[in-house]
Amino acid sequence: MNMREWFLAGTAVIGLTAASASFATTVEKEEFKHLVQQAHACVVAQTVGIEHVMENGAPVTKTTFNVTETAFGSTPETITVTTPGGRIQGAKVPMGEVNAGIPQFLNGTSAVLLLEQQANGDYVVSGVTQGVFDLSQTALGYVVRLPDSQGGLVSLSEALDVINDARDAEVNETAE
Amino acid sequence: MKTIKTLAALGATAALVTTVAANAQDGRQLDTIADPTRVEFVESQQGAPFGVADVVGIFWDARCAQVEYTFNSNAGANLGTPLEIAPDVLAATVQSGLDRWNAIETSYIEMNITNETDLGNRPRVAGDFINEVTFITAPGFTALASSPSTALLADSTFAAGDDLDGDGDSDVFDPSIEGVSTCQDVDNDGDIEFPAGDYAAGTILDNDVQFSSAPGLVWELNATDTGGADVDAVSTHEFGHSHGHNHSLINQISSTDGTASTMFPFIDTTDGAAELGSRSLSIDDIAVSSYIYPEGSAETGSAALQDGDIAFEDAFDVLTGSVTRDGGPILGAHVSAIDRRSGETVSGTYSGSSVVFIDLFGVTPSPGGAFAFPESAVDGDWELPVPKSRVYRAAVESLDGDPAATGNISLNDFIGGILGQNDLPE
Repeated sequence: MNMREWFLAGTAVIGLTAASASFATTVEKEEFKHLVQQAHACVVAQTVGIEHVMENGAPVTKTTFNVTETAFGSTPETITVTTPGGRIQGAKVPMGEVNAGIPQFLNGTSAVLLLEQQANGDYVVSGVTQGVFDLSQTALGYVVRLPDSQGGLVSLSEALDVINDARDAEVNETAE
Repeated sequence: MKTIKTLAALGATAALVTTVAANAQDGRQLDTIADPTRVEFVESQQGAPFGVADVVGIFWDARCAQVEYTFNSNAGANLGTPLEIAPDVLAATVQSGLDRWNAIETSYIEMNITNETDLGNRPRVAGDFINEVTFITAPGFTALASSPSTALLADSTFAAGDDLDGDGDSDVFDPSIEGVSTCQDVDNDGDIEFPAGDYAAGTILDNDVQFSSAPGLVWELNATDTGGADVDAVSTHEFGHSHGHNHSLINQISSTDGTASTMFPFIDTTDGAAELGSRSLSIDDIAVSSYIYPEGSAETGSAALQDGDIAFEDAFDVLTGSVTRDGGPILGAHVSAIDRRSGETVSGTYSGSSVVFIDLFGVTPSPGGAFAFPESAVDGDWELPVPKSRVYRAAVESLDGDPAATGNISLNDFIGGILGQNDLPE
């Protein structure tokens, strides 16, 4: 069964040029591989700054990351990821916009990110929230929460292997 | 209150208690970081001082729970194609989904499209106090639809004449002068005004629902298997977010009923039957709305019982408990109630409450930044409304990415993920 699914409620602001690619939030049955395949880069990154600005009449959040490791793709050492929502500027009372199912970041946290690049150089997370994998430090070292179907809680190196395997699978299929 | 069961589940414990109490904060609400209200010295950060910001659920104040929407009639759907749908038809379809939410007898909130107006060929505007429904989205919008809500970030007192959004127009009226005490467009200028008074952090002040106008996307009025998006199904889901609800993890009610909760985060546009299922509210959807907006919870106003209403406490019990591990609270564990007789998963919620620490004093390399520390997990408590007169068992699972991850649910649950708490065995 063709299980093409749409991700609801995300307001991702992915900059895309082709109509077919503009439905980048479509989730296939093989969603993990699909996420990896549509990403331009996969990085391990730490949040170092968060800024709220207004674009197209609505607030967006610009989160700055330091890239500490790259699984694939090429990014600068510092990148900015744009997500919808955030504090509304210019209001007389404190107001913020809340969006369902949108990635959120806090300072000092690290994550494995699947990213797509916009025309302005900023990045967005592939698959809206689905391209974010929490990275936690434990007594055993850094661990990443991948979907259970991809191994669940694994070491960082194992997680990057899983991601690169998913990416290689695309190459192999294309070659066939 | 009477304890009916204690559950020990693979390291997580959940004590179930019945009660008829209800309030406006729940694990099933979308949430946001309120402005910091106090300073604490954080032990895990060598005793450094931080501002403490509560993570608060978003909700409509009872004075504003008769929500009026304006449909932007400037554009329909599938523009320039043989499948074009006129704005008035779309508005009627959206209203049919709203009618289903409005028909919940145990919930006092109501949402209606009260105006169809040409607001121009432009995307919606945040925080303008026009609750807008539009089929025009900004370039780069890649989701099917979304429902952004503007919420208050601090407990506030609105005084008559206040200009809340800074647009030069008063947004607050004196109820004693206007003779009304509910949110409405008292000056007929197209946006909503608020009665003067106190409003809590998390109060929704504005909500827009936007449906993608991306080229190539097909909206349809009759759910099919062809990949078009069913307006009614998507709209019903999005207006659940408009209520302030976050996503449900219930994607299959039972082994014999594959229907998902309307608020399950994904919809299959190639499965017309599934889309039709999303149009219909599940018990889970009804319970959440009723819990946050309980009928009969006030003696006057919209929350007071009126003809056709059923008191929340006459229809639902509330199971309560706490998810802990090694004595520490767990954020973002999904707790669901399963009817022992039918095997149906009737409702679900997420555990815990949390705070975020704000660097007000420049003690980190990111002054002003917002941080999650171990102390961010305040408790692992949960409350779960369930229909009365049934026997339930509870299930606990992590938000481990299958079917949804922490970030797909709420900020509270996301913090649980940051703290590495989303690894409970199911």
